[in-house]
Amino acid sequence: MSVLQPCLVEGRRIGAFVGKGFLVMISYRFGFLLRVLYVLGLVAMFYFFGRVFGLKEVPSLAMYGGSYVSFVLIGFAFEDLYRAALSVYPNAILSEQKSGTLEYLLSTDLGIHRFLHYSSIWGYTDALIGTFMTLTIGVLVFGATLQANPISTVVIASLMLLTVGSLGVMAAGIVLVVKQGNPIDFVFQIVSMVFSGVIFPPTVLPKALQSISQILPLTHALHALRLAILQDYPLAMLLPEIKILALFAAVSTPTSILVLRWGFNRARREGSLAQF
Amino acid sequence: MTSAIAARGLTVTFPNASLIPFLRRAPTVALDNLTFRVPRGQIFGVLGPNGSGKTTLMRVISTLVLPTSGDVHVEGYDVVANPGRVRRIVGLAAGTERSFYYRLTGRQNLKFFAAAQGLSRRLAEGKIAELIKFFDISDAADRPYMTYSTGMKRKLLLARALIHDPDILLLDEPTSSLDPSSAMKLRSRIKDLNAEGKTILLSTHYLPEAEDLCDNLLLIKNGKVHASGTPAQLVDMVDDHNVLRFMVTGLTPAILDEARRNVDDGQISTRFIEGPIGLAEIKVLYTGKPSFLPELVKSLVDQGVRVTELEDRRPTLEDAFLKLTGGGTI
Repeated sequence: MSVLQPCLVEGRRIGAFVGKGFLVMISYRFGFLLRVLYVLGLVAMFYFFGRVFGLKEVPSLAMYGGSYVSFVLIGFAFEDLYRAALSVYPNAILSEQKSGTLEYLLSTDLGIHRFLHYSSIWGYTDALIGTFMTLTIGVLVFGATLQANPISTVVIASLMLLTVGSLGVMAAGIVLVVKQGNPIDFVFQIVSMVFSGVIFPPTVLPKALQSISQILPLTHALHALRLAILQDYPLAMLLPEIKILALFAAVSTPTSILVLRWGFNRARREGSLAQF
Repeated sequence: MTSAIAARGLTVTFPNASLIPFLRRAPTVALDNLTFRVPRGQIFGVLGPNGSGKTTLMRVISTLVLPTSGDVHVEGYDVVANPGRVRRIVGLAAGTERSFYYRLTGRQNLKFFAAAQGLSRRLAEGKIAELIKFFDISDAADRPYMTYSTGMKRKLLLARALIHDPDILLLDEPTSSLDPSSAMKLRSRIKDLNAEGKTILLSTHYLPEAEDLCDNLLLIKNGKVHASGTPAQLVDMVDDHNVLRFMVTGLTPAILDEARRNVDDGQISTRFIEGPIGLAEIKVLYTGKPSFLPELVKSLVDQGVRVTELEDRRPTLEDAFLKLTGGGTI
């Protein structure tokens, strides 16, 4: 029981953060309605893609099975998760600052790291629900064919979340200092959307721009996820992408810890933790 | 007596260092070389005008602001080296009305913060029920926080600070913006908590509250300690003084400046009760005989000020505060 006790305490804390996120979300009925409308808008967009491309083979997508609908389905489904990983951490800071609850939460023994990660779980849950809904709509409504390798999918998705989540933690550290405006979010969301192959493969980009796509983790994650989900690639065949994502994670994880510590201590030195 | 909180040479300087060079401003010294001890089991008041550093001090003790130099220990734990330990010992009641989730009920808020403090569900439910009863907010507990009155919000702030049963409570102006009746009730709750053994560090700029609640006081202004001791000891420090108190109408800042020339500048204080030229209170702290009185009254009357009341009395804690911190207003 004594060994279990700390796990139960942390589990209860996580449950409280998720429960609070859910209660706050459903209390904003209009916001909740907009989220439902967003999903419906996504369905409409897929309908458009389906009408234009159908399930025709596209030569440049041959390695993913050739279907543009399936290609873009994976792009949108996981871009949502990628965006969540980038934004949940700085948003957790901003949201608690606006509620006026940040200082109290940081005066508990949670500490900045547990506070950030527990706060992020609701955002991830929300994004995962969106990912599953997008995939389900793609398969059921537009007949996209998925031949998923579950282990490869989970491993690649986890590596992507670890890498991009670390960038999100760095963004939280920066937001503690600069308050508004998040350069990491800007660079990695806008640039990734264009260069990482969310709606078109990076191979159609001019050669000079393709090198930009190679330094973005989402490019490698989406490539590997498409191979895992559309072509049933096992882990062994995805080793090059796994190595690249692991390298990104090995660099970004410790860097994120340092940047968050810098931002947190700087805000404490400036007495500006609660300011936004 | 063992100290619950001990500060030595505590200095906090906010660098105001923007990342953009031309936006950088001069550093602000919020706390300047503070040394004091809070004995365990006491209500210890930090008294000072707005901007004196009271809230910064609370934030340092609750590990939210880092000291620039000096150290602070809470029950022997350094706030910089052992922040986790310190956070388990202290309960912070600070902040504006916006420090809860507006759309959740009072009970839902307390449940969330209890879980954040690591309480088990059973313990949290028992504690929440106890605190709701103690602060008499049963009727409002299941209403959204956004519907709460200021008094209820203050009570919920205190309830949250107590949720993990801390040994030390940090109360930052707990009765500010409360009506007199609600403030009196809340003061009574604070006394009950102290009677249960809690050490309470309370910041206030309301002197009667400090006099009523506090065993010991620390007088700070511009981040510096000006005096410390029991309320009686602080009044004793100006025991050789008397206070002349005028109630006047028609006073303007220009007339006041003129009147100040008749009195040692540091000894005179003014409070406009009904705004400029309405009812105002002038107090002059003096020693010996009030030889300045005829000139002062003449100067006021000549400029159209009507003196409605004049009283010569012994100094109070407020007078001591004004004297010890070098005059001005609270």
